[in-house]
Amino acid sequence: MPTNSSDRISLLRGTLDMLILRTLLFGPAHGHQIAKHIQRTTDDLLQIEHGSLYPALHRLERKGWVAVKWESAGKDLKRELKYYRLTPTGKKQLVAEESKWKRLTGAIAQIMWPLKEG
Amino acid sequence: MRFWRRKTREQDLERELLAHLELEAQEQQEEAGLSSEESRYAARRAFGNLGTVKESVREAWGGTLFETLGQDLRYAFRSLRASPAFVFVAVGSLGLGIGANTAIFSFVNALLLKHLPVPEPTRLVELAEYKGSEEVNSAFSFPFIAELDKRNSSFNGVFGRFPVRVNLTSDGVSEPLHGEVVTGNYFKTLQVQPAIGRLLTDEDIDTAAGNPVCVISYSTWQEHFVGDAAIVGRKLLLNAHPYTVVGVTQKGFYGSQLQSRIDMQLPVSRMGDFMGGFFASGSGESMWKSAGFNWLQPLARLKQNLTSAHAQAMIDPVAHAINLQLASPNRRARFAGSKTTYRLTDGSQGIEGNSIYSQPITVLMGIVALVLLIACANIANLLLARANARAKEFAVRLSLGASRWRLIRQLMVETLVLAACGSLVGLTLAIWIVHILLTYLNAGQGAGEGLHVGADPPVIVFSILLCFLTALLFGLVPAWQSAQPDIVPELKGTPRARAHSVPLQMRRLLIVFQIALSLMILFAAGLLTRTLSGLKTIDLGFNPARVITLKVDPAMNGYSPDQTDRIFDDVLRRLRQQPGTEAASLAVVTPLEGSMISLDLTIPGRIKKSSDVQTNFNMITADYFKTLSQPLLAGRDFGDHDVRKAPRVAIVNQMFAAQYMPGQNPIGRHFRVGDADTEVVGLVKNSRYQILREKTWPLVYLPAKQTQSSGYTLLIRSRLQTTVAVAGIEHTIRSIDSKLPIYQVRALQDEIDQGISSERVLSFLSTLFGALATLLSTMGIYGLIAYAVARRTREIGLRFAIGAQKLDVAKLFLRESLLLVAAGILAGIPLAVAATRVLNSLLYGVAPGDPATLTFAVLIFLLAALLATLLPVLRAARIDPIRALRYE
Repeated sequence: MPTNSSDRISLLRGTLDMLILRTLLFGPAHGHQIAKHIQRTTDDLLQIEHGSLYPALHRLERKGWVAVKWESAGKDLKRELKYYRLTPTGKKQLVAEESKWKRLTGAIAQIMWPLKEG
Repeated sequence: MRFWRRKTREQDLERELLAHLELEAQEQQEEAGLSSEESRYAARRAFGNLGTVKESVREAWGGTLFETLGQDLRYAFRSLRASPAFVFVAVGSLGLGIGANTAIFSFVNALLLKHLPVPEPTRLVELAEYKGSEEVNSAFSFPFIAELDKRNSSFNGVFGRFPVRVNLTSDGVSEPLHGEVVTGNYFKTLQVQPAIGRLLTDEDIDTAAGNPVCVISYSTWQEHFVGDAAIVGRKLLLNAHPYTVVGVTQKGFYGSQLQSRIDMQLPVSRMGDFMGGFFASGSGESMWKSAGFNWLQPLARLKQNLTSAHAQAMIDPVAHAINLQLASPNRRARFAGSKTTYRLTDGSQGIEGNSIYSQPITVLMGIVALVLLIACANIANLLLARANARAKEFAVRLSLGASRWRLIRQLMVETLVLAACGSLVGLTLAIWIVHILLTYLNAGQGAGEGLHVGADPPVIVFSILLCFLTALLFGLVPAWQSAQPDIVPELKGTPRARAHSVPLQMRRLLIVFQIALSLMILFAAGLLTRTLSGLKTIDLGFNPARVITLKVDPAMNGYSPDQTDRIFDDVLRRLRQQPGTEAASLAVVTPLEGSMISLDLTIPGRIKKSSDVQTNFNMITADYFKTLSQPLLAGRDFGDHDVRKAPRVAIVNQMFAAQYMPGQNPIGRHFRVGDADTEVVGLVKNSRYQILREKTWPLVYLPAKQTQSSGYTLLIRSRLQTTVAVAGIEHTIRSIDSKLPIYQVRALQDEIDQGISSERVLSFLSTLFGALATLLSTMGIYGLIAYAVARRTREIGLRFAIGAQKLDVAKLFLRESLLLVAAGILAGIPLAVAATRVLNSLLYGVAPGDPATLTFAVLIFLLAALLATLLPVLRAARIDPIRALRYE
């Protein structure tokens, strides 16, 4: 294991949270849908590890950024799925994360490609 | 609630993840065309380790401290349930220890820690007069107290009080109440407020003659007058005198004594209404304010910013000056050279705050603390043994990555669970013990008298603290020990012999410690039991069996002294005629009741010596000695002709004769009691007078009719059974006046037994705790030897196989046990001898370091220890070598 694993995880975690919140902006979804959405939108570039998706979802729930509801899935009435929905505070958080992310990528871009900036 | 939520959350997570897997499998099936089984495997593979995901989700929930504690708790319960015998012994011994401690602490709380329910009770002080180190006076005259109140700059008020019995009659029914006559500054000094109306002041004392008033307590107001607000201004008949109620004291105030419940306060100037003939006749009207009559118990409040020591430094000159001022001119000389000193003592517990039980209860507190220590050592011992048995479990957990801290926490939680269970058992036990003790100690006392002990908040807090303290005491070391096993040998199943390992040494040390403490308790119990038997076999000088005593005071119904005399004559005549009565008489001082009378006595031609012992008195009627079977050695008993106008006569005891008339016949000799010339007409055997543990006093008996007395006790010796006799006596008295209050009906023997109730309780409880301590520490010895036998079963089998005799094997273990016991006893003897020195003042007829008692205690313990050793040793001797070698 690389020694800086803790740094990477914390970076990823924050990013994952933002991605989840962004995904939920389209409407309520369950865990599988969220994973698939992120995966497909990025053309399978971002493989969401289930090991971190569910802990992240539960963490967001605890923070009150998402609300949950058990509902039967469209076609199959027998099976109930856990749907996550964005809360107003979640929306605010998303805005904050987005701007933070923009500033971060902007800063990184300035260092990485200074010529373009000029 | 939390557990339940956790459970549904777990279920939800399970459902959510399973649903995810199903959806994934469905997708795989559709997209990659796999079979349903293959697709399920693919989904599981893609998902990764389900358990790990769950664990990290749980982490995301953010387990609160409470929840991990809940986990630990559940685990602790599970692991304890697996060893019920251990739990039974541990909780049992802890319950006994905590129960005993909580129970005794309830008494400590009630007797030693409580204060009078008034503002700033710690500023209250009691006053007593001393000659050297001997207290000579704890009561003072009315003028003395009034003068002290007026002059002394140290006090924010001084008052005096005297307890009286009050007979409240309403609607033809009489009800005995407890009252106290008080000086005007009583309420101001105590800083008590009225609930309604007003409280007594100096003016009430002055105007009391014409318009007597009283103040009743809040609880009396509620119980007797249903809290009727119209009580203020109402007239009550107290001892047949009308009194106006002017107010009710604040809720929770019960008078100036901590351990009694006073129903009402009355002006000191109305003493005559409650003390009958003594006060009402002749000069008695103003007797209450006589400077020569020391009868009021004082209590004073220190001024703010003044320490007790400061006030103490100023009291002597003031008190001496007051004495000088108050003394009649011809006695002034005597006061001028007075060497008495005055001492201020803590009055936060009110008048006579120092209960007779204070010291015994302190000793008991010490004993039960030791018992608890022994119990803790015992449980620590069990836990160490248990840790040995669980070494493998801990080794596995440590090798799987559990932290030592986590294991220690786990064990401490287990320990706390044990302690909490023990506390619950203990608390239940404590309530029961307190109830039994109170029933016993308060036997024969009326409502409102006796001790009041309850499970107050301090008691509850104490028992909770005790729970944590014990858990820490017996749990910490074993927990630390068990969290560091040798992992590798444990896992390989070949733990190395731990004969000299730290836990075993620690167990031995604990046992030596237990034995030493047990010996201390056994020794103390022995001394206290010998004290009791010494007190029980004291020669009283009379025979209390079948003597009934009771109090009846016609003055309480408003009879004049002459009428009272006639009623008593009538009562005695009728009682003597009653079948079954052997003798009946009256006395002012009931033997061993705790009261005493001392009068001024001078013997013409004899100069007082410093070695003279104070002479005490009793006022009695004819047949007093016959009633008590106290031998009259010479002369005659009093008779009907010894009346007021006849020549004054007296009967003296042997001690009096020996002190004042050594080698002479006392009969026919004269002395002066006060100013009256008195002739000795009889000599009686010495007897106990005030209390059981007293030196023999010189005693003078005077005929009741030649003195102005009140507060008589009726003594009857009857052939009948006590209850039958009492019924007959009460019937006879009621036939004279149905409203005469009769109280304190007792068998004299019971009363004497009651007088040594604290010694009885102390002896009984210390013996009980001694037995408990011995049991606990022998259990420790038993456990250790039994463990050694079990551990060495193979070795013993081998020894037998190569020809060892049973005795050789037995010796192995006997030696170990004997060494432990010897070490314990050697450590215990000096401890016991040193510790029992504090018992000195409680002992009677036996010295604190008494060698015979010590030997006895050691022998008892040796016997118990031998028994505890023999059981496992016998098992060792019966080991079958074949089976033993197959073992393991």
